[in-house]
Amino acid sequence: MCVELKKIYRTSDFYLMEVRDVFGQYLGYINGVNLNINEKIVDGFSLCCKGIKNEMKKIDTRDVITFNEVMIISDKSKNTGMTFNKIRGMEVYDLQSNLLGKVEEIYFDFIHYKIMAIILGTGFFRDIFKGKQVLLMNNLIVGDDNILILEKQEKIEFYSRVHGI
Amino acid sequence: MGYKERNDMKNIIKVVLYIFTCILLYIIIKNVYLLKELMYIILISYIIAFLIKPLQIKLMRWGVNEKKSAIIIIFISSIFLILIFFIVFPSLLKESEEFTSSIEQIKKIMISFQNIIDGLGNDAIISKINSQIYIRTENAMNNFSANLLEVLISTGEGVMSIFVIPIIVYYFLSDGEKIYKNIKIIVPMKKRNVVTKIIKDMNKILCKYAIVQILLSIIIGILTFLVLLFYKVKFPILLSFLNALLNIIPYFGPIFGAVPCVLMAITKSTKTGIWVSIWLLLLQQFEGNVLAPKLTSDKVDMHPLLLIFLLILGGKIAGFIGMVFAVPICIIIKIVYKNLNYYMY
Repeated sequence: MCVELKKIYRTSDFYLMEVRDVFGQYLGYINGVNLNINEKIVDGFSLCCKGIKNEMKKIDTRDVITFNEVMIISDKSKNTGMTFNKIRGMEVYDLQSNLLGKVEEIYFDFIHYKIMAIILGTGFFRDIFKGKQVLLMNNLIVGDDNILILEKQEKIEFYSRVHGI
Repeated sequence: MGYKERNDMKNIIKVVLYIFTCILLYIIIKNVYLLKELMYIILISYIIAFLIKPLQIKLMRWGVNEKKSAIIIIFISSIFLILIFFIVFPSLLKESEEFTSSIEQIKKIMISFQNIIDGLGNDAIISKINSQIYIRTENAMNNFSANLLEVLISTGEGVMSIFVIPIIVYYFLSDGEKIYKNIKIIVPMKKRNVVTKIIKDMNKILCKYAIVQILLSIIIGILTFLVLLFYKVKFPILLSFLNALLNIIPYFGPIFGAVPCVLMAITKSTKTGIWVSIWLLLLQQFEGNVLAPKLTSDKVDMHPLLLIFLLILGGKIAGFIGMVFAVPICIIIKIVYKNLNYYMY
């Protein structure tokens, strides 16, 4: 299978990715992505360990040596980041209390793991016809239940539109 | 018509043609008996190969060849099945024959229960509801014993399939990759990456789900057998087998499986019935609160309400088989939707 090298990743790229150590031993698969919202970076990944027991562990991005189809890590160090599932589904409002959509995905770069943008989903048919709105991380405040946009990006609006598979 | 419009028309025609071909194939396979029989054998072989595949992968990690590991696993599984066939199957057949006579005892208990309810008041509605419950339960029990006997006998009749299936399973295990690469040719080249990813994800999630469900059912079956043996309830093998089988269905399965055990225990004595129902309840709590959370992956990630709707729908469409396959089919649909959602935007 032809493998692409990307510059911007989404959480779905890592979901169910195999994790191995430097000796090639299979450790488990990635179950989720951990975020540090204050610094706006991807902090680590949730590892679902191999075997029937289904133990969950967290790995730090500093331990990730490389990843492609399989992720190679050096050590299972402790990571206490908040999982992406906590902000997935959160509603996004602007300063006029208009609901803009729900968080579906995040874009982050693979060198510094910096979160660049959030993808919003508004509704199944609206997403197909208009596309999913992409909001830059700079203007957002993440709260306990919702997310607030500080200033509306009126000059340029980013959308991810439907294209061929 | 511009280039974009022509392209869109082409895509629409392609999609319609694909759907039409799939429907046509389905109708042909469903109606032509030979093809139907062939498809059943291939489907059963594929499911068995799918369930055994993790064991083969483990053997291959220890350095065993792909073909040799497939032979070893099929050999061990065949011996295991033969042992079950010669030890458990005759007892199961004998017990199911004798079970029909025990239904009379259960009917007597139901009649006495009915008399108690009737004695409470002369209300015609309560009496009508009560008699309806009795008639339906009687029909269900009669149908169950008749169907069970028929299934057990027809299993023995399918001797030809029993010899062919291990051979097909061997080829699925040893040459699975080659078969898969050749089947991928059907998929258009541009979409092959997407389809490969979808199939990979499906394999990862369904494999673990199926193995865990089977493991939980086996544990429940063995523990139920021990409970029934301890309290000397009749037909322990049949009832524990039934409980294990029905335990595959989430939420409703444990209840369906426990009812015959409790009814059979009541025929011995009320005290036994109460003790068996307490132990079965504790078993279900142990399985639901201790075992299942440890073993079941949260990859399934479905709301319990949705699960219940699916089970009801599956039951209406295809009975027991529908309820068993409702969750895996929903998992497949969810994976396809997630991947399409990812690739489309």
